[in-house]
Amino acid sequence: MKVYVFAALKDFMPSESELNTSINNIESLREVLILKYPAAREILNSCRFSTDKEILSQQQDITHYENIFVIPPSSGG
Amino acid sequence: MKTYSLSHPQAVVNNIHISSVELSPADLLKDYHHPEAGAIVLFSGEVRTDTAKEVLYLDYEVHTSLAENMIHEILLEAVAKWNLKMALCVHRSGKVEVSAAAVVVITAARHRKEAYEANQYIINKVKHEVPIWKREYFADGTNEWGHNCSCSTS
Repeated sequence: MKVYVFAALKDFMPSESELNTSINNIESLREVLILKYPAAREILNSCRFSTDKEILSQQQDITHYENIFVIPPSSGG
Repeated sequence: MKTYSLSHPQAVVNNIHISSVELSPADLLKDYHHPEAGAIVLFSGEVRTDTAKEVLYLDYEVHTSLAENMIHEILLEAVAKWNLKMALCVHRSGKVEVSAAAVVVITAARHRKEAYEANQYIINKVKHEVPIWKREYFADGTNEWGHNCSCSTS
């Protein structure tokens, strides 16, 4: 699974990375990322997750997803 | 630029919502007149500096494919809720200088109340929910990611 991150998250981790761990849902993915990048815990806890087209729910089964995007709180406008 | 939405065949909603090139609010407005709309509201969100810390420019990062979808859904929702005749939202990506437009929202309705309310609704939703992030570059050589918007009306 490829994981893409944006904005302030890039201060803590690469903008894209490959995770080989078996990850079932968004909540598990969040936990894996926090374990791997503990300094990003606060921001990861406030992130949403998405595909290239839609926001995913916490319990969404992502076992077969190839790309996941991690979305920090927005600051547009 | 103008296309007729299938969900609301009588309303005109623009189709491209993220732009890497300069926005001209005046040029966008030229296309947004409708024979049944007595009120057109245009909001231009522009980059500002600060007397405490001079801003040189902002750089916007965007999750483009998701942002395009989300803005379009927000516009269709507003069209249905306020019976808009036309709605547009375009947000910049990349570098935007002070006093340049970072986001433009245009709403056209029969009366001003609906046009104003819909316009505020759209910009608030875009600021809070759409995956767009600004990095501020200052005259003292520093830069930082913008704080997430926790406001409801500004």
